[in-house]
Amino acid sequence: MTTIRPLYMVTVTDAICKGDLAEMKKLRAECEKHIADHGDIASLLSTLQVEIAKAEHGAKRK
Amino acid sequence: MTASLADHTIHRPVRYTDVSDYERMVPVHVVWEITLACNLKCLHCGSRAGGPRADELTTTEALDLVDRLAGLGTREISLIGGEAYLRKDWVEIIRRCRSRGMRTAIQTGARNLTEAKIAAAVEAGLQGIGVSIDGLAALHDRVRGVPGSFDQAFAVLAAAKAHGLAVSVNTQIGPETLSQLEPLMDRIIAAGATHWQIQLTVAMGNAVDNDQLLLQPYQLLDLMPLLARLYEDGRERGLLMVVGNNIGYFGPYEHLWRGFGDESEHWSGCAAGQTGIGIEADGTIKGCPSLATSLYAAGNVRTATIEDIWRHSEAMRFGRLRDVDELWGYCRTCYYADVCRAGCTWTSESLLGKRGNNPYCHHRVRDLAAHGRRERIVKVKEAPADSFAIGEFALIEEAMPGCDLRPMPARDPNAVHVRTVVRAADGGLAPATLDLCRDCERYVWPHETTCPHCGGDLATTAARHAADVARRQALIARARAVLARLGSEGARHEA
Ligand code: SF4
Ligand code: SF4
Repeated sequence: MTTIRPLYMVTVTDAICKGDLAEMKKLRAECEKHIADHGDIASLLSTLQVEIAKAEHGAKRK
Repeated sequence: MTASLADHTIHRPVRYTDVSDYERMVPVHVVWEITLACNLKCLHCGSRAGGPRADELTTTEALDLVDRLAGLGTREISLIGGEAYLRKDWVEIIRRCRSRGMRTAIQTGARNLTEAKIAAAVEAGLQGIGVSIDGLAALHDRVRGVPGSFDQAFAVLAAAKAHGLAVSVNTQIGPETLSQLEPLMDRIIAAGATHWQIQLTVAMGNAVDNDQLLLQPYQLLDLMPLLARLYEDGRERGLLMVVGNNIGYFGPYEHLWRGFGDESEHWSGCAAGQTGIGIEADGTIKGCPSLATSLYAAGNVRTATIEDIWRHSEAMRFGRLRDVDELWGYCRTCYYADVCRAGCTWTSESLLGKRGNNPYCHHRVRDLAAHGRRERIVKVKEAPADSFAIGEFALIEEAMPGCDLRPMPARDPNAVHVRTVVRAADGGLAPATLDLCRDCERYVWPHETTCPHCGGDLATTAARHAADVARRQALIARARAVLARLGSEGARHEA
């Protein structure tokens, strides 16, 4: 249900974004912050896997 | 990372009304003109503010009124003027409102609102401030009638923010504002405001004298898509656009902004006298602060109790009793007639002299345009010199330039959907609730099976939407769980 918003109803300053979209954007921001603070574990892991595979492949060739 | 509104804590603000507020008739919101004294000279001022009213409430009367409003259940109060701070006891009134648990804010044009005044109000418990800014510097200063008022408004925004107040900007839209909205939004964001209230300028008081400041109804065709774009842009940049009660109704953007993302919220009719009260400085009570005094003065707290005025005055109760039969013109045959009741009473009645027909409506403007038509307003009668006085405008339907007039479909006024109402024991009435078509994102009455707007099968699209929601909810739950684990890991490492 909507609510009264007459002109000059200044107290709307406590209105907030709602719904799944707002929540998903909040979570996305938290994920981005985590990556910024701690690094991207997923891409670190795949890079490690690639390098390990390369190294092992190289070791077998020797 | 961009600041996002989504960073705000999810909670339910006190201002949100629920069904029981309507049923029990609680005046949740009060807007109170505590003085008509003003130091600006706005060309669109509906109350024609300037000097104080002859007989404004005394301090004792004003404080007693706060107590009585609290007794009626009021949860939030906006103090306006004129300029609220031109009343000597304004800080005392704020203190009393806060001691009664009301969320308290002021609306201001900000001229000569010094830092010392702001500090005193904050000390008394003031929580929010809304500053009126109607365009970029030249337009704002011209409309507000005082050179330099634009710069003062931004200086007050900064000072208020520094004092920890919730800060919003209030903009009235007229024809000249349209092209300035986007750069104005940039300025507002840079100033740190979190909320931007948007409202069309209404044909009342000084705005009748200066009718060049009024939008033509057909200009909504340009305005509404622009507002939708700015709404989304602002949302990403930390500014929540709050569309006022005369920005409507039921067009393609209704679901976007009315509930700030909660699509179950939609326009549900003028709430004057149902969950809100307006008070004039001499104690005159109305269902909404903006309504014409001559038509809607419901009583005065000096001659009757606010409780009696609120519960029993005819001028207060109109919104609780009205039905589609009082609508006329296009609105009487509109699909949304019984939920909308012609939108904002103040806007339509001030314009046409009679409530119940509102040309400032996106649904209507689009329907007319689809048939090669548009509506234009022309002033036919000036407004008297009183505060909140109305004039009269003629409504002219004409061909859209460059288009052929096509006949409108025949719509039987007796065939509009009227819901079955059940009045609560206290006499109040909960507003109607619509569903949203998930194909065209327009609202429909709950009994519909096929969308009257796009022809979609409502059950199919609703099922698809439910599946989308379930998937999103699962993802949200998963993301929350992962982030919570990372948060606790982080906390362990820091410890
Ligand atoms: S045409 Fe009138 S009743 Fe219909 S949505 Fe618009 S304002 Fe409301
Ligand atoms: S008259 Fe307009 S502003 Fe006042 S309560 Fe009704 S819809 Fe809201």
